[in-house]
Amino acid sequence: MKFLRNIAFAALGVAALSGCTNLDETLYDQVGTGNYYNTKNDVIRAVFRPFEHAYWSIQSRHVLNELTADQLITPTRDG
Amino acid sequence: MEKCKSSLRHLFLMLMLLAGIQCLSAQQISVTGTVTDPSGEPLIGVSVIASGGKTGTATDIDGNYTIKVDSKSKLTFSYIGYKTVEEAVNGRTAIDVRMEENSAVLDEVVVIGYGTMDKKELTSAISHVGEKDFLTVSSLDPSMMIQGKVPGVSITNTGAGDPNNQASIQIRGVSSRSAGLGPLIVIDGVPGGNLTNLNPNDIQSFDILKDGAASAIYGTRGSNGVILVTTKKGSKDGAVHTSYSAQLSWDKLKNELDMMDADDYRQVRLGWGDTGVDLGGNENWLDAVSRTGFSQQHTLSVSGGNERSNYRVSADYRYAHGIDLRSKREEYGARASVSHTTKGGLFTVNLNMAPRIIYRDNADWGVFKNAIEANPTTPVMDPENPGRYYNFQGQVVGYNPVENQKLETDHADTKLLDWDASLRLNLLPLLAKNLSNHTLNTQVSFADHQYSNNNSWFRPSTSTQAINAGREGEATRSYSKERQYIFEWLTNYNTHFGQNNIKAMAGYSYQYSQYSGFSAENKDFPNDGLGPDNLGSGELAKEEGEVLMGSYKNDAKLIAFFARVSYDWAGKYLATASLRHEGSSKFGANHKWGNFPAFSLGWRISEERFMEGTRSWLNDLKIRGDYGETGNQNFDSYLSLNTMSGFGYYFYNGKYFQVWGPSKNVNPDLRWEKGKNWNVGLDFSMFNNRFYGSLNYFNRRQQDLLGNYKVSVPPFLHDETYVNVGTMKNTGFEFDLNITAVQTRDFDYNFNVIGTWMSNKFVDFSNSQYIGQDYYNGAGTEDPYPFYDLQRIQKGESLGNFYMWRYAGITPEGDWLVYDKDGDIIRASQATDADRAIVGNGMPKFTMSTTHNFRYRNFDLSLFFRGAFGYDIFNIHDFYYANRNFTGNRLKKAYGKNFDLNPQANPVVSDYYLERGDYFKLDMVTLGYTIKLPQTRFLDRIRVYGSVKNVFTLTKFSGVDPSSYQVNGLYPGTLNGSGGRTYFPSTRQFIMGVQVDF
Repeated sequence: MKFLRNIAFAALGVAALSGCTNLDETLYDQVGTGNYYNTKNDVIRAVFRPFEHAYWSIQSRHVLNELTADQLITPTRDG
Repeated sequence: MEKCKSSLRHLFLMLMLLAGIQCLSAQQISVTGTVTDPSGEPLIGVSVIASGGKTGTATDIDGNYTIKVDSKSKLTFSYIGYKTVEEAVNGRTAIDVRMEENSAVLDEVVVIGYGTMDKKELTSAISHVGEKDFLTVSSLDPSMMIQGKVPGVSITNTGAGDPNNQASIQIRGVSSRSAGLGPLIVIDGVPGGNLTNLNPNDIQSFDILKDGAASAIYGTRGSNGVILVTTKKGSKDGAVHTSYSAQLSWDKLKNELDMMDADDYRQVRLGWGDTGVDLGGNENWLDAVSRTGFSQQHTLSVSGGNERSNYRVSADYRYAHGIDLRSKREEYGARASVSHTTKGGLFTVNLNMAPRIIYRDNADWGVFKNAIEANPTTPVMDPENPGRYYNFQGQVVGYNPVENQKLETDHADTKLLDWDASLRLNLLPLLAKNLSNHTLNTQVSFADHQYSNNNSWFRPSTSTQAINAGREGEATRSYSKERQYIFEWLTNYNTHFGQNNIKAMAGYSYQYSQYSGFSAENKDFPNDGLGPDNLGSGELAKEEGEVLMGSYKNDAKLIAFFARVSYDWAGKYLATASLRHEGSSKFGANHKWGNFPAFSLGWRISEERFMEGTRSWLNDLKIRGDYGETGNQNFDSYLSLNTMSGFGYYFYNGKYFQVWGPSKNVNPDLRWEKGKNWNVGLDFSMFNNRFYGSLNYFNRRQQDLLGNYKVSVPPFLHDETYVNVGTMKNTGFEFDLNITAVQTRDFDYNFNVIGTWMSNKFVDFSNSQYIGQDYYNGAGTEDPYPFYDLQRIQKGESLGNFYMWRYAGITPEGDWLVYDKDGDIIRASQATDADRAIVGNGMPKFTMSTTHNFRYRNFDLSLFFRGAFGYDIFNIHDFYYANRNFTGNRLKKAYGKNFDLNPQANPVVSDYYLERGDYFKLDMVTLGYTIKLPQTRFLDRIRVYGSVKNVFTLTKFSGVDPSSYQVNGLYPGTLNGSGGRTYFPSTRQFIMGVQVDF
């Protein structure tokens, strides 16, 4: 009986071990920030993220300047 | 010689003596008798089995039996619907037995999470539906067998004529905004199952855990309720039972919309000079895109064994095609279950295995929409090029719905495998002997699901859709895979001393699931014969900047420790408490683990001494109350983590770089949606259990509802965060009454009535930390009209509120007039958003059903009615089609009651189109005939039956069948939660079936 109780406690102990209560997520199709910076290109990509909007909005302003009339309008489809 | 003779004689005497001893120890006698029911009528086919299970017989047509048995053995008399009787032979040669009917009501075993209980011991709201109450419907989805049978459980199937469409199940209202709404499915104790991997003939019962106390044992998955499915197991009577059942069914489309035909189109529409073109054809497009649906199903099962070892194996085949021209489903599967208890009851081994292969051709629901609104003068084939389908370019109908089904293929192969094994060790015999008032066992189990889907879609270059898009054929392939395994360890301890009964259970559960898949597409193939099977040969992928492929993979873990203790004193005072401590990998780092406690109390008043005077008519009366906390973790993985993802491009060093940055705001507080549920109920049974039922009042409050909330930038990087904010409340009252009105030898009549009153309230969108806006709109209308939302989900209001302008008439020119917010009449063109108001609600206040079962001798007849009351439906087809503005085909009403509307004016989203949705329908009629053939050489029993599903509907709603409108989900009272008009026409189903027991 003591033997069985020992088994039970041992089993409970095993269950309480980290493997059985570990809830960390494994990322498969995404990359965590902690594991992102590995190559030079990773750094380049991250560095330019804040400038991306500026790049495209400046470019479209340039397009705007080339249009001579009111080609850029917001059409209303109401009614 | 003489000596030899005497020794032979001695030997002979010895043998005689031995034989005599043999006779004394097992004297075979012949026992005869008659088995009758309580009224003295003979029972035919009662099985009579001698102890040991080696000899057995059945009673004949007069209830008589004869059996040769050991004079000291016991006889067991068993018969379905009657209590099993055991008689010790004790040398008697005539044993007559009067069998008593099973008062199945109170002794019914109800499956609860991680265990079972007698119905009389229950202290929470659990509904049990056994095989005899199943509807004989032909559907891939077994939940359709209990549609409308359980109060508080709303099962809807808005595409019942589509052989691949699963039903939607919602228990006690909507409980979430952006996490899942469906209940947890548990098949034979294994959580997370899929109902499609069940042959309806293998199911023994459904037990539905409706209240918090019952479902809290499933912790983070309990908020939407739990459906426990129990499959049939091996028989224990020592005999082998073989059974074959077959079912054939036909689906007939119901033409519910009175659209104009080609003659009307030419004479009325064009006659009035309205917009339209006569294309020269004369086509009934709805007929052209549909056919009679058909399905057949065959099941063969074998079961056998005894108390210690038993098995059941079944195999089935099913074929179905839908009422559209393309959809098809062919599947075959099997289910095997083996159970064995070793010597002395030390170990019990259980093994279940269920593989299934499904080949599907998917329906395109849009073909019905297109057929309904196609110009009826459009020919199917192009008159100038008869080998090609008519090109719908330029019409409001986007494509030719016949061509779409005939030329395009949309195919899927599905493979499902569920298996589980468990080993139970009966600990007590190891610890001590003769402890009859204790049981202690511990069990480990492992279960595995493997589901995979392989899809392919192809549109050939000859399709007018490909031609219009300038494509030489288009194809897509995709593959998705789901795997899940569960390890569980359970320990059960039961004991009773004096009047005290205690049941305790503790366990650990580890569940891992992983989802992955990929897809690829290509266009412009050199030859249509390649179909979707040679994607690489397409030209599109050679162009720069075409991605044309994708893949994903994610996983999730759930780990739980749980325990439950039930205590009762003399079966009179009952109490149960449980706790689940559970964590999910999806939760944020600050809230990985949650506690889900529950407790319930019951008092069986009928057991009290002061109720003795009522015992003659009152069999049982119990009041109970419970409280439980549940969770909902049905959202995507990785939402709490800080992840990086790609955004736009930046030109640097002569090269475009995709820039990368944090993909979302980190939320380490992300956690389960929390449900606080309480329920009070009353169970009763009276007049010799001929009238029994339950009443329940419930109150469910779901907190921490997930949603995207606006946050300020900075400090946050993105302007929205996915957080736990928001509260929803559902309350309701359910009743379930069962009455056995007549019960005689030849004629039985019993019926039940069930019903639910429900109300819902979105209490709040905000909390102390996040302030959300007080409403949001949904269910928007679609082209060709301006986009308007039909419904608004608003703080303090019920889901399903129709929020729109109020109709005030029309001007002499036919322009729409509406009331503004002050009640003045204005033109709809001048009305603003502020003039919109709550005009109705699409959530039924009361749903009910009633089943009536009749039996006359061997005939049985069952009628099943169901209905929903107290709600509104926006008649979406009237809105689009019943006016002279719509460019596609119109309802005849456009030239009837709506004739005066200005043909130049778009229809206005107003309560003009709002109608009462109340309906009451005869949903199912089944007539069956059963013959028992205990005397025949090869058969035991034959049952044949015929059913009609969706017989008639009483309703004032002028559109399609009101049950085509979805009442589950966030936008009840709309077609599938949107303001679109696509729907799957309702069908009437005719079913024929046979079951043969060998």
